[in-house]
Amino acid sequence: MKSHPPYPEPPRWATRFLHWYCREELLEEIEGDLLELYQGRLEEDGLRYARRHYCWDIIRFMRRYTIRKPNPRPNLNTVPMWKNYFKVSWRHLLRQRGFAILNLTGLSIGIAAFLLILMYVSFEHSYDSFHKSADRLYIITDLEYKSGPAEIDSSLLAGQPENSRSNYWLPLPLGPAVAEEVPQAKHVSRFTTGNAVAFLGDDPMDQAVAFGDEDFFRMFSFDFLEGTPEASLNDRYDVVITREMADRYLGKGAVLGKTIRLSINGEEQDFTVSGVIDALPPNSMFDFEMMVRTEFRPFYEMHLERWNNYNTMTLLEINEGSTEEALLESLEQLKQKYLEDYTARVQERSGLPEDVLAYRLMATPVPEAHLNRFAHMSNTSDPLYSYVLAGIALIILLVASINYISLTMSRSAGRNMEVGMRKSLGATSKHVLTQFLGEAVLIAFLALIIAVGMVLLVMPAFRELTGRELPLDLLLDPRIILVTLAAVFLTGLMAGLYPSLYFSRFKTPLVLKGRSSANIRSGFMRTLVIFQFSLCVFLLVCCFSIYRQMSFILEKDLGFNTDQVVMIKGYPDDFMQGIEDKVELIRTRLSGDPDVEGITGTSLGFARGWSQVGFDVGEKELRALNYRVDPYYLDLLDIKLIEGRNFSTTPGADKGAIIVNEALVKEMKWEEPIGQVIPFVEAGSEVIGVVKDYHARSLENEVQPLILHQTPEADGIHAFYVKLQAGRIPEGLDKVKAAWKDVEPDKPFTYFFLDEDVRSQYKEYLNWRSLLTVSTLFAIAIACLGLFGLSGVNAYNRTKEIGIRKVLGAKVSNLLWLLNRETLFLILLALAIGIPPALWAMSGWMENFSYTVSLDWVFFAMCAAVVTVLAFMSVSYHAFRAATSNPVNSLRYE
Amino acid sequence: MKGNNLGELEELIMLVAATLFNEAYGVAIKEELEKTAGRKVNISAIHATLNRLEEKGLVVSRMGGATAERGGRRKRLFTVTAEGQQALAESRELRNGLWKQIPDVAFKFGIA
Repeated sequence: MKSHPPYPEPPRWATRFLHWYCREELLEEIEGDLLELYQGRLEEDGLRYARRHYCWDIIRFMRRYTIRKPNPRPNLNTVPMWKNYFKVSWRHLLRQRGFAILNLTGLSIGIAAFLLILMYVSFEHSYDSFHKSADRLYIITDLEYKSGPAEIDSSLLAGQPENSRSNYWLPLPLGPAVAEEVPQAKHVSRFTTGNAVAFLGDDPMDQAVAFGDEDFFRMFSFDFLEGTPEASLNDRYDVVITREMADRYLGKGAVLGKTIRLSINGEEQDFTVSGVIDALPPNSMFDFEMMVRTEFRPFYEMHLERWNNYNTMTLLEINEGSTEEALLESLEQLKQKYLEDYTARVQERSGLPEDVLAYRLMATPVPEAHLNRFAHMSNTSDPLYSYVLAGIALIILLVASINYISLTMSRSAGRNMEVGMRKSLGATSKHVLTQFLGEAVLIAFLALIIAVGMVLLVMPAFRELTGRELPLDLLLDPRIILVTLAAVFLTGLMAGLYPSLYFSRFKTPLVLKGRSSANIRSGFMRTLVIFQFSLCVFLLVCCFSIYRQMSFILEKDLGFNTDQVVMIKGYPDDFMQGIEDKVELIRTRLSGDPDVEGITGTSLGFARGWSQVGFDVGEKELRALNYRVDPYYLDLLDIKLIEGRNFSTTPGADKGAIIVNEALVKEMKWEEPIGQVIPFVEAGSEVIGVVKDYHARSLENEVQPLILHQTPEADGIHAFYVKLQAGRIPEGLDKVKAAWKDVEPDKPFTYFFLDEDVRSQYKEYLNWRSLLTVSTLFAIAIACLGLFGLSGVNAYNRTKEIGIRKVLGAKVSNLLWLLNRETLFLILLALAIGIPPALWAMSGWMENFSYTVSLDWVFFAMCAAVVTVLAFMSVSYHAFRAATSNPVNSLRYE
Repeated sequence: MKGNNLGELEELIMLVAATLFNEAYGVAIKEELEKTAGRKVNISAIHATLNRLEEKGLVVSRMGGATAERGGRRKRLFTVTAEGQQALAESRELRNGLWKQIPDVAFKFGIA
């Protein structure tokens, strides 16, 4: 019954499996029996049968008593062990203080940056999400296509389609219409803002007010300190104010039922306080201190009839269970009922086929309104920005973590002896792993604590920077906490992993005898450093570009002179009439005063909004900006007249005349602009002059056709500019104030410096610039740290080589070059990787502006130079140390 | 613990092991079991049972008898101990006792 070898062997995989799971002690007898049975079956029943049963038996042998027990070794990581680990780690930290501090700081900074940006993004996305019915609140917007195609591209990178226009200022009667016609609407309210004069005692104060309907506070959840939302604006003369306003006008204590006198558009009214609310939270699109009913809005009755005047926000809350589709349907029907004419005109003009709607009403959920790219509200931001920022945050954290890892790795090189000792005393690789992992994770968490401290410290500055009032309890957001903890833990884990793996390869006796010549593999680190530097290059280029562009913008000649010009706000008793006569009075009063160089009245200040009018000239629709001015306007602002003449100073003259700009002439394709008549007003307006194009709006926009007029029916004078004598500005201002008080004793004196005003248009961009600068600085710091670590590793790896070279007579400079050859290569690679994406990103960003600065090769050369210098500075420490080391030390053990 | 309650397979295996005195190991027991009792038992079950019996102290084992057939691996040979013998004897007595108590009537199967 015996078969002699060679006989067909039993399946090897099965045998291997057996060896894997089975205990050593039992293996021999079991395997022996199995073989015996196999032999028998082979002879009796054939190969297949034998193999099958062999495998089956092996599987059947898997029982509790046969399976290997994992780690029968005694657990050496008891509490005293941890104490030892801790002690040793601490001592290492102290001994390599510089390194440790560097490492810790780097990681802390990275984590802090990550946290800050995370907070910002989470804040931006939290706008208006605190309302109780947030998911049912909508703001109505419209969408109009000027020409085909009419597709809404909702992808992240799509901007507003060129051929469309969208906005949230809609006609005043829309609100009541929605309330009546839209069955899905539970609450409807309009919202606008305006100005009033409030009286603090006898002093008139400029007071911003908001206008809303009685449903407003039922829809939007604001904290009521006195009064209730349901009864907030029920009565015509109700006013809701913030606690701060209450304190200011009525003193501390309960104010419910007291009256405040407001003068809106010249009409004085007593309002009863029906509610006191807490200051509005910063993450809301609403920002007001006082609200009265919409009926008090200037020209309420008049605008109520007009469906072609777009000046009001309309908000609604839909019923539970109503869908957005149903809402849009209702809005569509409403549009057809009330906006038929306009829709038809737009449809025709766009040239789109009948079944594609050229004009429609849309509803944007209120929590998304802040990030709505289409309808730019006053303080919206492009969601793309948040995503970009989040990306940057992630990258900074990644880079900082990588740094931490690589620095830890290079530091651990010197601990050969310690690990050798431990291993000879019985430590297994698992113990070594635990030690280093534990150490790394601990330090990582230490960095986290420091980072939180940094964040708290830096908060006020950060708020300044971003222009957002970020509340501190954003830090307590569970999502942020979770993500951060996970990230930190992971970082620590990875940092500790490599050293322990590295050490486990050691042969103990070798290590104890002297220096082990095992090299730290720098391949990984090298890739990391390339990545870090590429990122650095990217951010640097973007940062420089933005700086350049913003400087360009801020210094660009706008075509008019804002130096020493102050704008003073008017409070007309009659909106249509304006303060024209008052301005005249002031002018007479101050004429001859050397401190005041000129005064001109106007309808609107530059950064305070713009008025655009559209009217048909023959076949064409002309849209033009329009400003009411007086004859002194052009001179005061140094606007150049290139054809024709200015308005005559003879009172009453040129009432129907207009001055246009080059862009308008171009648009109308006039050869001879002077004398042309366009229906700016019913009676027609004659062009008497053409001015050189200037930027009435921010440089994001191209110069548009512009009309300067003196027609009271079209617009009144609501403000005036005063040009003051250079160096005598405070005195001049005082004089103007005095004159104002004489002429308008009951009105507040509110002034703004024109150049600041104009700058404020770019506020968002300046914020961005700051944010990006900070990010770039972070990235640079971290990348340099990384390179520092890498050079350390390199120097360590090549100690022997350097020692030998020195003995053979190499000079310090030679060695420096040798060590840094690699650095140069790294930099070039980083430049190659980092510059193209930066170019792409920047050209995308520049599209925001109609006027851009060009990025020439000098610019890139500069960036490259900066990066190179930084890199070399980082490597110099280690390179220098290595190059000047005593070869005796390095070659001692050979 | 006195009064070991032997499972059926345990008892069988012990008996066979005793029969195969000095030759009692896994495969042999399996084959004998099949030959005399017609019982097909998986080799792993036999090993497990023997292991359990040894833990209970009813058998002892030693290594020995490597053959080429087994690739040079030794066998684990089992012998029944005194306690084991005792347990077997007790079991047998128990059965006998119970048998004696059965009335004739119980096993008279005829026309009911």
